[in-house]
Amino acid sequence: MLKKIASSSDIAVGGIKAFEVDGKEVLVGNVDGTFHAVERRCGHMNAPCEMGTLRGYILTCPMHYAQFDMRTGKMLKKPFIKSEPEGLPEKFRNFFEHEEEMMEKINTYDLTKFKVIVEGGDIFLEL
Amino acid sequence: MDAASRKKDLKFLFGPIVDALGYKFSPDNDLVDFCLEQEVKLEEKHGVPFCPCQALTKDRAHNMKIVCPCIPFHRKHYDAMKRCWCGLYVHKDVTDPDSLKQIPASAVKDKVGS
Repeated sequence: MLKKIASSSDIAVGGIKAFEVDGKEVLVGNVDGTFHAVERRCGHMNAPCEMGTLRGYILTCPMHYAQFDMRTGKMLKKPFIKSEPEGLPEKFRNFFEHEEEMMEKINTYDLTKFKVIVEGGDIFLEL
Repeated sequence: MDAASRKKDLKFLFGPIVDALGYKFSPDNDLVDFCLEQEVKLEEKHGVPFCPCQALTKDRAHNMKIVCPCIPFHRKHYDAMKRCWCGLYVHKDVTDPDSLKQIPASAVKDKVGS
């Protein structure tokens, strides 16, 4: 089913924008003039990827800098989870060490890709 | 995620950055490929593509200054050599990277007075 989500002029080249469509969170990005859509939440810890960056086809999550290919949703780089806090009281250091240990057990998955159709200056999403 | 495609990604990401700094990838493609391959391994291990030719220490501040491309943190040194420490990047006007030699940072400091 096709759903209109935006006008093509809403997202400039290199831009990313999040939408909620029929209960699904979707991120649409403009890669060199071509629109692509993947799921909005990072495949690592669900961070909202529109707060990250899109450089060319490389989408970087704002939380732990995992990288994904905006065109395919494939993971390009695992998250950077080593926080190495410095100058913090011991109880905080312990917390971060514990957090790091937990995060090492979390897998990072590819993002689901959605089909995008641009017609008459509008962007449609196939869900 | 495989090393070959990650090398391509790193090249894609670093190209515009070093271009703005007046540098380019070395014309020596084998060297570029080798350095990027080491960076992919370092990124896999540490999460960050550190310079493959400089030693990591326990000092985080020091380590963050050797994240590739580390040109801004060693500008005078690299400008004096017309290349970065690895030779992965060279000044835009360089056509023969083999003619460029590594000069220790201490020797460059004496030369440029900083």
